[in-house]
Amino acid sequence: MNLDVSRGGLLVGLAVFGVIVYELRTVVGFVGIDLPIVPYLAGVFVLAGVAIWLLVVNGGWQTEPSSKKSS
Amino acid sequence: MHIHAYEKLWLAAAIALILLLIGSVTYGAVGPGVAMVTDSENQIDAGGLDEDERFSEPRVEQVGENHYEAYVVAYQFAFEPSPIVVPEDSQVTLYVTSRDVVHGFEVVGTNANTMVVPGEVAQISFEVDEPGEYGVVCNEYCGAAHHTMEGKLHVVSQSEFENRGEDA
Amino acid sequence: MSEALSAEQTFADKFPNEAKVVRAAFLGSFFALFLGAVFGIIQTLHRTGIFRGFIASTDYYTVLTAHGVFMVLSFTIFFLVGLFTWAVTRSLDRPLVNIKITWTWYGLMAAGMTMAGFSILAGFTNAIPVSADVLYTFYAPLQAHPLYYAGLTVFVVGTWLAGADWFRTYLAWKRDNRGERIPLQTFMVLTTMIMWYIATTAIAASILLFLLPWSLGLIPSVNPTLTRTLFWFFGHPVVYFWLMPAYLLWYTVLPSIAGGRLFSDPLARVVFVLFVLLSTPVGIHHQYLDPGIAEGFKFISMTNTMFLLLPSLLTAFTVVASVEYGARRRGGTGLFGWLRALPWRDPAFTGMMLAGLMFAAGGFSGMVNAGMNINYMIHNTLWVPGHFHLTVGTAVGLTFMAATYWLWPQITNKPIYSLQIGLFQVVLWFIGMALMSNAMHAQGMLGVPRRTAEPEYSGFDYPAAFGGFEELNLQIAIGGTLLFLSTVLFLGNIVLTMGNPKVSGIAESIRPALSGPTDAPQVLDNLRVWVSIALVLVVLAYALPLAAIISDGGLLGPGVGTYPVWLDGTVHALAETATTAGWMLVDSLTVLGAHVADTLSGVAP
Repeated sequence: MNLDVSRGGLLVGLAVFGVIVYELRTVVGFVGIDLPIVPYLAGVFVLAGVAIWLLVVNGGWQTEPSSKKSS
Repeated sequence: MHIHAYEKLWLAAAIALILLLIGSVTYGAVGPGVAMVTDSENQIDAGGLDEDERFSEPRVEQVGENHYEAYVVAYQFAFEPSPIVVPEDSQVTLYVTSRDVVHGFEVVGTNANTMVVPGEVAQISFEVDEPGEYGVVCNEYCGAAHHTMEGKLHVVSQSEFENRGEDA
Repeated sequence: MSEALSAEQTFADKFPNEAKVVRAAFLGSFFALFLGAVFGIIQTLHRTGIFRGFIASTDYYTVLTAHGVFMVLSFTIFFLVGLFTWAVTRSLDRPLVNIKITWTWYGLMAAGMTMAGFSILAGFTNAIPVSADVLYTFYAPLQAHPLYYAGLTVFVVGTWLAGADWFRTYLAWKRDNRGERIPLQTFMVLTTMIMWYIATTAIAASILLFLLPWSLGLIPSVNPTLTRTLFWFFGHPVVYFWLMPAYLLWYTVLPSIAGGRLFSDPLARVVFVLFVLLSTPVGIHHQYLDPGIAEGFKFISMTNTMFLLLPSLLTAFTVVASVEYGARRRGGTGLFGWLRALPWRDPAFTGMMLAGLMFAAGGFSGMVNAGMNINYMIHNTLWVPGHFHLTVGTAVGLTFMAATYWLWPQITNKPIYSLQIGLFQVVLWFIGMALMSNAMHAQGMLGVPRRTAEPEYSGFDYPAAFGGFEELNLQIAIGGTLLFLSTVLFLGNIVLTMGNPKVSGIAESIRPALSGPTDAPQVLDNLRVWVSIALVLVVLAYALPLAAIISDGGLLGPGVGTYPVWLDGTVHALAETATTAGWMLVDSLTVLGAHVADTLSGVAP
């Protein structure tokens, strides 16, 4: 897998991913399973940390503007 | 006009979704008998509720074997009667009107929900089974103390219902 | 390549007069956003019980009226008129016909909003006998001071004049360009304004025939069901008035920012035509629970509303397709890998993409609202604000903020102070809104009412699902605080940008669509056809319900009271008010004059 992501892309990706996982708790609550919020949110942050660690291990993210910018 | 193949697919799926939604709502209205609030009642004089046969004395009345009617008046900032007491395992029809401004009437945690408009009478029907206590809120802004406006709906056992008049 | 860029003119270079108008409109919009945000944070902390020290609960409704009016009438519509002025001028590549008329309508809008705003804010103090604690929906028989209704009328007249200005400019262009298709951005502006004219006829009628005379004491009462129905005749298309500028940005600007081109111009036209046709004959879906309206009319409104999903779903396809095209042009590959090739560091791009994503969620909760019977579960609960903070709050609000990062340099020749803060701000908005709106939806399902200062009641507890009432309150408060912070960052960024020096060479252009206007059937540009069909649909949807309401309750209502009475009596009271207002004006001018004299004498050597 080519992990070529920019810093901005990483930020957005984490935000979207975090929101989706957080909302999953509401969906699960809808079918009757109530998950306690503090451990759940801690878990979300841990998962985000794992994602960042995986990226770092696989070469990190770009901080320079992409040279492919065309007009 | 050239329409991409994926776009045609998407368009078809979108229309299918729309028809499905319309169909499900129609089924709900026609099938399980989820009735809407409608203009089934005549106009009423909001300033003259004291002369009205039903609303001068807000109360619960038995009109059939298991059918009860309640006449409810909403005003700034309460509901009358409160609590509305009905017996278990019965069918209840509420007639709700307002003395002054527009209010809301919702039995919290259920879909018994209606607007209460002065000059109009709202009619909603539902079934109650086990005894319990429900809150009623006014969910339409009606003035500075709107957040204090609440009522109760009590579903009680048949014997409690018959004896309720004695404590009044 | 850089020589070509520096030779290119920005909008401010080519059309300096119009650029001034756009700037003024945006500044008015952001001022309203600021006020609305301040009230928003007060509300969110008060309602959730975190901090109730700013205001008394009885004043909550003044705050709520201000938040509603400033956010969805002032912030959105001032931004719209700025954006549309830019779009018309740019796409027709010519200045507006008469810039004096342009400033006139701007002045009317500003004056109207000031009048209405004053009448709302005066409600905080008893010293001024004016208030408008009636909320943005102003349902009779709750009554506001006549200044409120008059202010809103002047504001709307300003927007009417704005539309006429753009139509005139288009017609002047058409004379010089016979046989050419209407440029897409102008087409979008014209169709949006057609929808607005149709929509505002009802609210104008409601205010001018009923509410304003009633508040002046000229008529004794109004028919609440009639005025509600006239409001919602307007109240649903107004959300498309907010949304269509966002769509204009997603269709015409976002693809170019993504490095691509709009997938299909004709389909964009189809979408806007569908909005002209379908936006108005659906208002009764806001009145599913009204006792004065027959079920049949509600059912018709429901089916029309469901069809309104179509243009939004089509937009989703076209926007994603256009952005994907841009990503692949930038070198992106793979089934989903192309997402990585997009300019996520650009706050204009990211903001609009996050807004579009959130709009999808808002669309789903909207489907629940539209479902006539399932609506009963959530009507007037906090679910509804949860829904509309996703749609107008994010799809529209966040898109406007994101677009500003791209557009502001074009109209001022000043680069944004900090694009990094901009990126942080848009992502913070997304997170804050997700937290707040999710919790609002959940509370709505518990039955927690909307528009209430203290949602705890003494007689009962809410069901303990979704984490429970208190936990959801905390999420709403945190989400709302993040949103407030995000707004402060946005406004601060713009203020600091205004202090930047002007530069050259920052012109951005918009690439033409892949499938251009000439691919569109000619009939799409035939505005007369669409107006006629729209009017027929509106008559079909509303003639019978309105006739029924009027015949049942009468034009002036079945004898309903007035709460509170502002001006009782007629011309005498009117004269009294005018005299009092006149003396207040003289007093304030005296005070102002004295202050100026003091300052001048203090400064003089």
